[in-house]
Amino acid sequence: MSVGYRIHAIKVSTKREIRSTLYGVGIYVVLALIFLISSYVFVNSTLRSVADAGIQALTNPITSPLFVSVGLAATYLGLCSSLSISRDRDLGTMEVLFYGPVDSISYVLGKYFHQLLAYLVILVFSLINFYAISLVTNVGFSIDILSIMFLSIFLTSCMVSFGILLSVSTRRVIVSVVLFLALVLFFLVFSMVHTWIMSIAGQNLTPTMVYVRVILDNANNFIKWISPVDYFLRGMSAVFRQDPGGYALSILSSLIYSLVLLSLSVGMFQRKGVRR
Amino acid sequence: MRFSRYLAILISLVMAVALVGAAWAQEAESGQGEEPQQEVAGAESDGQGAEAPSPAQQMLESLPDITEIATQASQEQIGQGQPRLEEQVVYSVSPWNGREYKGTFAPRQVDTIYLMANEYSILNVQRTQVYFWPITNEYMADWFGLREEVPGTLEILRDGQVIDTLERTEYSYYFPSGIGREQRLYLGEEAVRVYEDYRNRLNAYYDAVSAYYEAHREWQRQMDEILREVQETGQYKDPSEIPEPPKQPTPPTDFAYSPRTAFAVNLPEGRYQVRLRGPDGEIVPDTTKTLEVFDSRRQGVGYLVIPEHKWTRSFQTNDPSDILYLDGRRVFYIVPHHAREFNFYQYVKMANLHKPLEGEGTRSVWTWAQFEPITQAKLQVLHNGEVIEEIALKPYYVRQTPGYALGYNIVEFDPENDPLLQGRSPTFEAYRVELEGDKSYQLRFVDDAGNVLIGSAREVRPIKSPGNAVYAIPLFPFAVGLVVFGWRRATARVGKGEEA
Repeated sequence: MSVGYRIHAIKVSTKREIRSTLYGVGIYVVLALIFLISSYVFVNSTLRSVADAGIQALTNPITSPLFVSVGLAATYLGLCSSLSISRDRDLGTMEVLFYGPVDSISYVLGKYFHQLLAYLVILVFSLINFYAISLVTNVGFSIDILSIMFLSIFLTSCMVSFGILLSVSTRRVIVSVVLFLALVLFFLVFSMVHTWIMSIAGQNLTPTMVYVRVILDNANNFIKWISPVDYFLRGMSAVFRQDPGGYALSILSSLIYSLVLLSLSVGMFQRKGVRR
Repeated sequence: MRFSRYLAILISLVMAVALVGAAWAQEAESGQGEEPQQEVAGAESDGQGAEAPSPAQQMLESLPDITEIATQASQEQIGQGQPRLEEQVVYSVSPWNGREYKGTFAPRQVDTIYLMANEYSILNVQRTQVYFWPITNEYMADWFGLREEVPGTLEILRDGQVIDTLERTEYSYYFPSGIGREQRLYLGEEAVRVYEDYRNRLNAYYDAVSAYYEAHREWQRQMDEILREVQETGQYKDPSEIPEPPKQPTPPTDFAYSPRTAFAVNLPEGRYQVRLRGPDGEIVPDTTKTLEVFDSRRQGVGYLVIPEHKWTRSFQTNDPSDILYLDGRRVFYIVPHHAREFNFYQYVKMANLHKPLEGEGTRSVWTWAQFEPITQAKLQVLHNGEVIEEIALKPYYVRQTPGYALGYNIVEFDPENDPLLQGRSPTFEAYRVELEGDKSYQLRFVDDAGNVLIGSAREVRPIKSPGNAVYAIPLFPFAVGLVVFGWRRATARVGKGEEA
């Protein structure tokens, strides 16, 4: 298939899918729920703790709810991409599409760009939401927050690619959904436990806890390359360190991660075929 | 446990200084009438051109090195559980951690030594008895049992090439405000000069103490005489006839270690190898180690913030991206210091080579280390980019309110105008900041030339209570969804109508 036909197929597929997403209420309901959860976390962590302490030094407190929001939104879109491909295969839609001017590359990229466009819409809502919250609480809306928001596009890119790869490598909807959620949950929990263990690095730990820390740190050396969350966290850290090189590297590595996963997805499509 | 050990060591040191000093003073005092002994000492001095070391000097010279204090096995440990002592050639290491020189040693089992880049650290190659103490999971050394300096020169290699060869040099630690406070390292002749100056002042102090006791005895004798006369005659003396009591001399507040010799290492960031080449030209076995010299990832100015309303609950903010949030009008005090961010593993390992588990599993963690405090700077408060206030460093005193009720006031330490503060020391020295919680500010430190200290700026924002708005804002996407849903329903109806 020529490049021109492929681009056309991607455009048509993306346009059709994004229209369907925006005309549905699902994305709006999910976004409202995510923002409500993050506001609850924000009020009960930051605002109360500053009020209790009287004075407190914090990294911009919008960061935590923003992280929760973009993390949940990216997971939601990753799940959507995983579901969408598995459903297309289950219903036989994929087979029908592949009889037409659609091949594995245009199909995978169509799904990928659809979710990315959906995320850009989410990003606009996030911008409005967090700007308004920072305004009413006076916590400040700095260029750092904008940088993190921009970085979240690449988190979504990783998450969606991850979802596509999982759905391509499994044949049943339920398996791909459970696998995606289990892995994302594992990455999130691992990241949280690792961060917590490392945050008590200065304290006296029992030898058992030290060995647990060593195991976690060694495991992290491996997981940080496969977990989409870790790519984002590295970028966030670079933002706070005012390290443009680290920030660019985080974006570049996220893009490479997405590219590798999408290439693997295309390869698996071609090997496994599109039939149920 | 670690704290109690350091406390015990510190108390032991202070006690040793005090006891030896008191004993020496007493001996000097009791020796006033012993002319023959003085003559002998004088004869020795005249005859040989060298004075016998004073007890104070003996005490100073017998003080163990920082590494020995930190890693010496106690008699209790040596006596418990029959530890298997092994004679080893070890590196004793006193690395600079930004505030002080710590003490550790690298036994044979440790193959990498960590040091801070571009700062002097003290390394020595010594033979001692080493054993592993399983209760605290650390290697200990019996320095008092065996401590032999292994002769030779220290070779530093990079990529297999010798880039430097170091001879042992004299070094001394100096504490200008006493042990436990600011610490300085002096090398070579300067180390000897600083120590000799301190020793001379200490000796002069003990001489002054002897003279004081003598003068005090004489004053007491005169007072007894006056009292006796008053009792006998019944006539009071004129105040001008009563002699003034002698003034007690004040001891030196600083402290200097007696100079010793070791290798003073100061290298730029990088991975090196060190080894000791003996006088016979051969590499001394077990002395080849990797030397990892690390530098900071970031530098800045750390704030120790002391809120006025709970001054014992101070907190640190080192990261320049931190924002200070206020709830209403607040008064707080800032104690600034230079700060550098290091890899936690390297920073901790540097001072804990003898503890194999210390810092393990923390290679991905970063930590801020405090360096010297900033005292020669002004704190500027800005609003909308304009400097609205300049604050100077001042001493403050925390005065407990009298009575049973809890409470305190933080007042400027001014003993000249406040008699209650005379004879006391300030609780802390800081920059006092008083901000209204109605607008945002920026804080920063500037030097005498007006240059902003790198990493010293912090944003200060009063936080607002948003009420339910914080839950109303997230519903905006839902509202948009409802509009889209309504519009879709409407267009669908129109479509159906047209079809009909």
